[in-house]
Amino acid sequence: MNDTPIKDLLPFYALGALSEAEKTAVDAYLRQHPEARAELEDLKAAAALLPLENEAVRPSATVKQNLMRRVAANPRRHTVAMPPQPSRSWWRSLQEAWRSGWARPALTSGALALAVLLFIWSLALNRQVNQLQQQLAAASSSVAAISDELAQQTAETAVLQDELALSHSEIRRLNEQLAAQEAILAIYQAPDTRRFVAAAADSNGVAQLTANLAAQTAVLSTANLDQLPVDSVYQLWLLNPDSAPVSGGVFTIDAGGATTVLLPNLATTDFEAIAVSIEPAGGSEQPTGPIVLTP
Amino acid sequence: MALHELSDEELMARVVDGDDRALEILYDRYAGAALGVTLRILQDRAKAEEVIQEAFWRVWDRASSFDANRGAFTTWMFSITRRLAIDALRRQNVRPQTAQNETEARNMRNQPDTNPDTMEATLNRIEREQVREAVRKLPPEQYQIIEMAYYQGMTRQEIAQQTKTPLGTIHSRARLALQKLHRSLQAKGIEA
Repeated sequence: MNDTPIKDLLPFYALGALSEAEKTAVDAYLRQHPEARAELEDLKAAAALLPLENEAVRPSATVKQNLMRRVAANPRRHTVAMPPQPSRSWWRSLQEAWRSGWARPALTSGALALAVLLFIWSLALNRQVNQLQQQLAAASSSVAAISDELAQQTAETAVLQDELALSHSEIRRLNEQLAAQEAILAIYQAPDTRRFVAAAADSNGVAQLTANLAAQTAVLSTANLDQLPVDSVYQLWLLNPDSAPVSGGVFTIDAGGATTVLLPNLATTDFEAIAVSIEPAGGSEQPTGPIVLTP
Repeated sequence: MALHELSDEELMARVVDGDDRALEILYDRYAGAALGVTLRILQDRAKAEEVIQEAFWRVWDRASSFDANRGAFTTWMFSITRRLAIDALRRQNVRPQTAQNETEARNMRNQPDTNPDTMEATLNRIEREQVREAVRKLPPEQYQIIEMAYYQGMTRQEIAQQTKTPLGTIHSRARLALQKLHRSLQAKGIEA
């Protein structure tokens, strides 16, 4: 605003589009340049007519109802302050002195002196009021700026809190992944693991179960398996020649036909071989679909 | 003289004395026009009605601050109304959009205020059309400044930035627009 002549702000003053600080500056300018007031009045007169370019629209009935209800609940209290009546005795004395004429010169010059003093006093008060108004405007402007900054920082804090929550969620997910990888590694590295392999007869599809039978845990790895329709799933079977196959669980494969799955709780450790079949989604109690990988 | 025959300023004197019937008459006269302005600014019927309700509440609550010697009641009332609408617009933190859908746009357009006691009766329809005509005759780049400052509550700096126009040009266009409006309407004998 320092580079802008104050006179250039007059149209925006008329449009009500200045900040409090700018309005205060214009008010101060007008006090010093009363000739600019005439131009401002013309600009304000034009701006005051702008509402007329809009079509009037009938408000909903509830607007008036709510308004008048609020008005009824908050009546205006109009009190008329009666001026204090002077005491009869000194007022009557003054009247008599005036009528008699002897006190008129003294009363007149006294009244003049009082008028001059009051005028000087009112000028000083006016100056004080203007100064206080300027200080108030500046303080209001500061408060508004601080409120805006506070609102912005509150918004930024909310964004940071959201990001922090997301980070916590991501950390949890990564921890779970790490735990699974560590469990898989432990199985591979255990000294008494057994490996069971099943392969496809007519493709490169293969599955390997690495089992820590003592711990009843295993890792199933597959490669080169074909993609299945959405309503089908691969199912692992634990085979024992003396009993029916026991399900090792269902699994899905990635786009390359591979998977690595941790089986934390084998249904049985009494098996000699593995097989894989294609079953309906959710799996089956016993193999019902084609056996695609055999020992 | 019946209450509804009183001038705006005479009614405001009664409002200062606590006469709510005087406020009601002022509301009936100008609420439609006020809603027209706030709808233009906020483009939201519910918010616009909230604003005019608050504006007329302030007319009641702050009646003592109205000074007929400083300007007409309508100027004071519209100033309150517009300021409240711009504050509401800034709280929304959006710039005015076109109506969300055709239905809303139609609703906004097709509810004219035809109450015979309203501003449409008070102000001659020809006078209103003359104001519109004067506004329409403004060069587009000048009217754009009025639209952005008065109806969108933008600062001079924001207008300069958005229109990619030097600040000095913004100032001169605003001045020219208002001066042109004033001359045009003064020639037709129209005053606020």
